[in-house]
Amino acid sequence: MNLFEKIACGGLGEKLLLLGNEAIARGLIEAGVIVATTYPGTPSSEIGNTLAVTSSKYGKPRYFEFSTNEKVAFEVAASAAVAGLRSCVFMKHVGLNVAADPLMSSAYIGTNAGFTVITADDPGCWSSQNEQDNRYYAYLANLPMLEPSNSQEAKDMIRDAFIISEKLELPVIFRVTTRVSHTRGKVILGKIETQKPKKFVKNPGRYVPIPAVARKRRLVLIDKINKAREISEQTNLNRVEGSGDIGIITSGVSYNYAMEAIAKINIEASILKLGMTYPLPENKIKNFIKDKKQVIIIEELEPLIENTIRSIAQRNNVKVKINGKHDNFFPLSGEFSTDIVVDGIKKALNMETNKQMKIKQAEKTPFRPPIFCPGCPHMASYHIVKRVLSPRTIWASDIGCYTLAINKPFQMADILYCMGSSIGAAMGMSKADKVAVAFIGDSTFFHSGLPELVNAVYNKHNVLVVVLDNGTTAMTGHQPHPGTGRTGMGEKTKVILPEMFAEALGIPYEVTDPYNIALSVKALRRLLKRKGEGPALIVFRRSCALIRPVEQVYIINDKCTGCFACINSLGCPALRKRNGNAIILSNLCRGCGVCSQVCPFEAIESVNDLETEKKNFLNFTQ
Amino acid sequence: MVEFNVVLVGVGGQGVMLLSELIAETAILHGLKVAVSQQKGLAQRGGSIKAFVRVGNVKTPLIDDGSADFVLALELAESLRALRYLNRETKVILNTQRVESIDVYLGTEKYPGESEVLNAIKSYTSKVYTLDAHGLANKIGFPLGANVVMLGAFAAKQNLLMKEKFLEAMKRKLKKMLGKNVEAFELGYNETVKDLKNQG
Repeated sequence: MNLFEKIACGGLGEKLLLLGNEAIARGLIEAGVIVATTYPGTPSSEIGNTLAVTSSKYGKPRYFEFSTNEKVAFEVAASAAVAGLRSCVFMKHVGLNVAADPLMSSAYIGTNAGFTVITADDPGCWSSQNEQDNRYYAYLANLPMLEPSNSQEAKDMIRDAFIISEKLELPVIFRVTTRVSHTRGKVILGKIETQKPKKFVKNPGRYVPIPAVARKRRLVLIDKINKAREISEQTNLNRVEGSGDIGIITSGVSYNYAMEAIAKINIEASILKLGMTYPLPENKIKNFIKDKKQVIIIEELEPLIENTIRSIAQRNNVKVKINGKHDNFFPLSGEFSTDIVVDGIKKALNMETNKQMKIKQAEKTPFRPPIFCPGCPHMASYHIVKRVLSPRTIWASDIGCYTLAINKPFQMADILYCMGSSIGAAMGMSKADKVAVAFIGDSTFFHSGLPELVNAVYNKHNVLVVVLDNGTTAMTGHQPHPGTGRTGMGEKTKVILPEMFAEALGIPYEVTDPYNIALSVKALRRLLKRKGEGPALIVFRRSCALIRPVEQVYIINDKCTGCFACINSLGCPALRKRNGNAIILSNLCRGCGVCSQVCPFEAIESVNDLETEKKNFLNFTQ
Repeated sequence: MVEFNVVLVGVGGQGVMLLSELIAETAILHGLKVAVSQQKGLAQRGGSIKAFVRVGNVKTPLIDDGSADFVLALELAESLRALRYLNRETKVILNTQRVESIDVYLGTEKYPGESEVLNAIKSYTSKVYTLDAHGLANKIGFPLGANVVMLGAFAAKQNLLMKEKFLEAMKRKLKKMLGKNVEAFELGYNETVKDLKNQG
């Protein structure tokens, strides 16, 4: 039995070593979820990677999809729940920004069957452009929120989320962070429930929030969130552990650090562990803080719990010393560690803090950013564009592996906001009389590049759109997308290609294989000649080097003069300098042959024929 | 109560994540509790990678500065990124393989020398064991197995987890090339035991 099979079918009481995200996937299966949707994004990606397998092979859940973006994913899952099927949508924290519009309305509309919205936040920006605190969304939308602390809780609390959701007929936000999603721990499996679909009865007076309906539903929502507060008071998810006249209030991953910190400092403390963090249990908190000598609030990112507790103390006239982020005892940015929490507690208790151990040596370690993989077609694409266009061009980048072009040797990333922003940014830049190029990946193009391209045509923006089409959502782990002809459940479907939109919009476009430098340079030059007012689009199409078999490798012959044009123009990790010449590390070489085309001295040759490569290109475009 | 912390460092693509899972699985086979912190996402190939394995009754997956019992460094220069976790008792197992970073092969940064790296580690702990895991893996025609050679070395260097359980964990976790992996593990294990004996 492999791990996926165990996650899909493992019985009650079985113990598995699960990643937080795999535990969440199991939790969804145990809760009898029927519809699950997502757009891949780390730290949430492995939930989808797991469900893609469990749904296609074991029918659990019955339906799963990689949607084109988070807003679409949200609407599909939310409406399936309204239609009576237990549903779930999950995404990374910034994905919820994309889905924020339907999120706000779903609070008014409510749900019929259980509906859970999982957001995976990324304190410390391990793989994100910001570390926004998505707990604010629960406050903003007025939706109940749960936060697990470890893999076991991540699985178990999914069930609670659905029970609360169905009780209140409201979506429930389930918030995890990178350290919960990406920690492996022992998980004891529970029972897999089957859920009967609920009946859907048409009710436009509830489900269609025109102003007259919305005003009424706002009152319903306020009533529901008051009921949610009662649940928050009663539930064992919010519980007191330990004893002592120092009170510590914490939630999520911070709970773990708090527990270890208390043991490390060796103090007696009473812990209020909050598993349901919106709405907060006002009475429980009041009773907890009123007889304490001091209360310390431990939470990553924003002082949200702290603000609420200060407000509860003030309104209830509880005079107790409350410490947290407003005293600068805990940092506002980055993720916590036990040491950081030890330091914060000691400051709050006026204890002497440890002198930071000096780490003298780390600066000698060479900087090692993530880099393009050997044979990555993006290296060739950037090289081609750099060869044709002026270095003064503004390079608008987007979210994907290709953002790595910010590094040497390309240094071709000048501005970036979020998914799909490259075309918008290029449009703005072009207004300041800059020549602007938007680099956008295939999956990102379908995610949110489309309306941007339409705007570029409609408003006649003079930009060049470069679609880097590697036939997959590479960065998050090779999930399928509309260009791949395959669904999240592995079924065949229509292949949708970026150039179809250029054709439909009537703008000049070219499709080229970046592994052929000369032809691609010609194609780009041809396009720039044809380009009039308004946008033009070029697709560089080559499948990701990681999902393509290696059929030949390249070697460097004795014509090498040591000019290092290959290394300096591509930076391919398979190319190295040795004794004044370039060499190719054959175990890394993927046989793309791009370096052989860059070499001015014909010093790079293949040790097999290139026919197979050509076939490969065709296979991918079929 | 057994409790120990293992820090693993290396370069994306070397198999650091799998190594962390194999150690965790072995601990679980002993009935121990375990927390593993992994670094995922972004395009991590070729980038610095770090993982923590904590065995015992632990709450958090993170290892504090100066709190490692073992450091497994899969790449020479990357071992320097684990310095902060060292104390005087930490055992370091260091693969002397070099993977040049992009700035090194573009010629804009210098790769540190082996003695420089060893001296830096030795200013924290004298318990450093070096081996050429990549060379050993190559010897059996399995260059991808350097991480499992390191697992063998780790198995030999510690006395909390049993060798058979490591092998059982490999059987459970590895779907492909189990035979080669076992060979690589034994190679790392025997090489380390041999060196321990030679050192008396």
